[in-house]
Amino acid sequence: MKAMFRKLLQKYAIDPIQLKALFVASLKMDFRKKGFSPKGRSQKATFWYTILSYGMISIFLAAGVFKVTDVASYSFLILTVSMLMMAMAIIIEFHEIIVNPLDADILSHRPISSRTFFIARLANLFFYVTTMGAALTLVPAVIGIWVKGSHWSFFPLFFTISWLANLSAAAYMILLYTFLIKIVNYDRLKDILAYIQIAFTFLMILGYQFVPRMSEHIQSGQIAFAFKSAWNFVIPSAWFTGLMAGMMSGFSLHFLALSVMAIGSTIILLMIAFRNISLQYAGYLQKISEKTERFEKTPKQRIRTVAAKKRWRFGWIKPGEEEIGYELTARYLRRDRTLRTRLFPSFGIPLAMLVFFLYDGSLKDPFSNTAGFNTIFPLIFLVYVAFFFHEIISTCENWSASWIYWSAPVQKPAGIFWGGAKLFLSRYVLIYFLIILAILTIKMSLVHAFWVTLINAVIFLDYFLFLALFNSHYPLSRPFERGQSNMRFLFSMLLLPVFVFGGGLEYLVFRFPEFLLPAILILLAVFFILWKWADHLIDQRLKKLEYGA
Amino acid sequence: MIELRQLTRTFGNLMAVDHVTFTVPSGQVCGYLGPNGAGKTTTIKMLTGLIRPAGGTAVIEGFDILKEPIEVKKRIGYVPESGALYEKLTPMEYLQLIGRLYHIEEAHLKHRIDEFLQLFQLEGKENQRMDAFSKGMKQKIVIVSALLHNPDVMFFDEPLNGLDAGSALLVKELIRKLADQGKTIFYSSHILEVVEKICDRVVILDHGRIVADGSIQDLRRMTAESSLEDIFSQVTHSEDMEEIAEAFSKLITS
Repeated sequence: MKAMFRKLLQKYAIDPIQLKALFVASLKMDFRKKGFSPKGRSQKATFWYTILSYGMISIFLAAGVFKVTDVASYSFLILTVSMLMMAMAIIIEFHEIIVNPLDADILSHRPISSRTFFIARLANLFFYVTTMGAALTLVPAVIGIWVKGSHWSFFPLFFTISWLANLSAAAYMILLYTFLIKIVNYDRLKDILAYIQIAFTFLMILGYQFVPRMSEHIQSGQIAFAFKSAWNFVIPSAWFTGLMAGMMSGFSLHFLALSVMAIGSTIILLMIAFRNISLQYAGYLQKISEKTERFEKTPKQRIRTVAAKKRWRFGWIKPGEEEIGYELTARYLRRDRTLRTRLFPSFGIPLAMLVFFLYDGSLKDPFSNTAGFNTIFPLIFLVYVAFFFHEIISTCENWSASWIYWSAPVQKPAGIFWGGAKLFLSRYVLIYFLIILAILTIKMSLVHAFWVTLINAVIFLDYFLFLALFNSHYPLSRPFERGQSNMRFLFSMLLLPVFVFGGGLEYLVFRFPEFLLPAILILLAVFFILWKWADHLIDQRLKKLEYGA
Repeated sequence: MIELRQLTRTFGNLMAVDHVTFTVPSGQVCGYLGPNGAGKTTTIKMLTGLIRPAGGTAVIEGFDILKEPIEVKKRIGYVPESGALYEKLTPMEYLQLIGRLYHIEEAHLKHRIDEFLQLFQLEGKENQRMDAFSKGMKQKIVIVSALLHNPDVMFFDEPLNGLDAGSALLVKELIRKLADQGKTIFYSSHILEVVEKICDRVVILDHGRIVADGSIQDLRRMTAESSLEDIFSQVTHSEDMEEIAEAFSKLITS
């Protein structure tokens, strides 16, 4: 059997010894702690966080919809989320498994055939697709047995079909990624990936808004998708739903067509990967190697005098450490695309929700008695903006340059952090609230819009300072880690109870406006107390921090 | 033997390597010099298959780098300037991976790794993760990984980076001995004293073009300069270093 397998591999120009060596080494590296520091976060732990977060999402989703859907609609919802999550994970977190710049430096000059290399990386990716896919679909497959019109066979059928769907989602991403490597240089590729990440983030957060619009009807709380529409043929998850529904209740012509598309597309994708991409794999590595050889024009520097800059700041930034943190963070938020794309989408979410509710007509003056929860709901999401800042600002592609913090005579390490934080608040958050104010004035008076914006801004500042209490790193001093986005997603879900506080408070002050000003004053007092406390804590922590920890 | 035939590489409008042609026969240590950005590393990356030439080609041990890259790669060893390693692995795991990629027999591989590590005074460290290693220790592993499969042609790009004095001496001696055994050595470095000491021949590159090629003695005769440092300054037009250093020191102390 083993000999036959070897022969089969060799027939397709795959070296079994090299394949095994590469695959085993990749798995070993993936599951080892990052960095030599004992405090370094284990990659294994990150992986389990990912699995846990996916498991939680799938449980929430399945438990939330299993009573109000039929087999096809339930399968469609779960498969859509699962395929979307899988695609997002691969393009954002795991794309370097497909083509890794480090491989280009270490292995490009070794005698490894293009196909052996590609299959080894594919096997590595297959491991993640299978484990993450199982986390996303195992529980929904069990819960699905109790969906209206379902029976015990739902579990094995759905689990198998969802695995196929996830494999298909992964294959789409491999195709997309390798196609992009082919047509653009590596730096441009990173830009495009960043835009894709933003698109996915919006789709994940706002996607549920589309659900009612895609349903045939939502009557007495029942969601039923239109499974005879033409849109089925353009959404891959609908193809696999067709396969699932056909297996469960018999194949109509429509389901049969969808099933053919599901199986056919997966086979075609895998064939393209095996026949075409695998042979060009060495070329992709060469393309990545060229990134270091690219000569770029120096961007035009904006000429501004130091005096003008200082006038603009009105004494908001103290000279020394704060100024350093401010300037450095400003430049990196402008130039580090990974940093930008991990941080800025968080701004878009509450903004997009506001626009959504404006469009729906559900955005109303919260001071009026007819206002629903919708008005304050998007603004409460601002806590994510604060959370994402604290989670992301310590990471950077050039994190290793942060040794300078340790070697320079820094008197007050927290000053560097506050410089970055003040930059964020003054250059981004302030403008952001002004935009929110402008949007709110469409549906309410300027005075009401001002008060709504002000109390949200103050709540935001309190959240921001509260989260700062947990900060323990300099800005831009840690590497990005694979799985970090997933962990952030999990933590942000755990933050949900914090919304209740902000939402509850806002509800009260809008119902009893006489408490609005005292509430703002109290929140500001809390803000100053938190600031002093955080300043002390961060300074103490940074003084004890070691480089690379 | 390495034979470069009109090897060319461009990046946008920039000609990084401009129709470079020369041959390095077996048993020769060829020093490849040039200022920063001259095209040295780009040449080596093309020869080792990391990037593709825009024009021309090269033949290594009778195999064309474009037509038979795998055959070329079986015969070369490469110590890259980046010193990149899979640092999450231990030296044993990393070198076993490399050895298996070259199909070295398992029993022989283990024995060979142990011997190499012993020569570089890394015995006892074979099962420690390399991300805790110093730069010099990592560089030793990079060198071992280039020599493990006994290649006929070796490319060294700043191989002494981070090595301690003893190890640097060992590597220099090793290169000479390997050349004496008939191996072809392509040695790129900025340390002119080392190049002067170990290389049979020096090729100097500037703005992607060869500006000097010959043995140290030939170059001395051509330029009427006594040291390689002076020869290098003359052919790359960097003679005014003393003036720049003077200006620098004034700036520092001002």
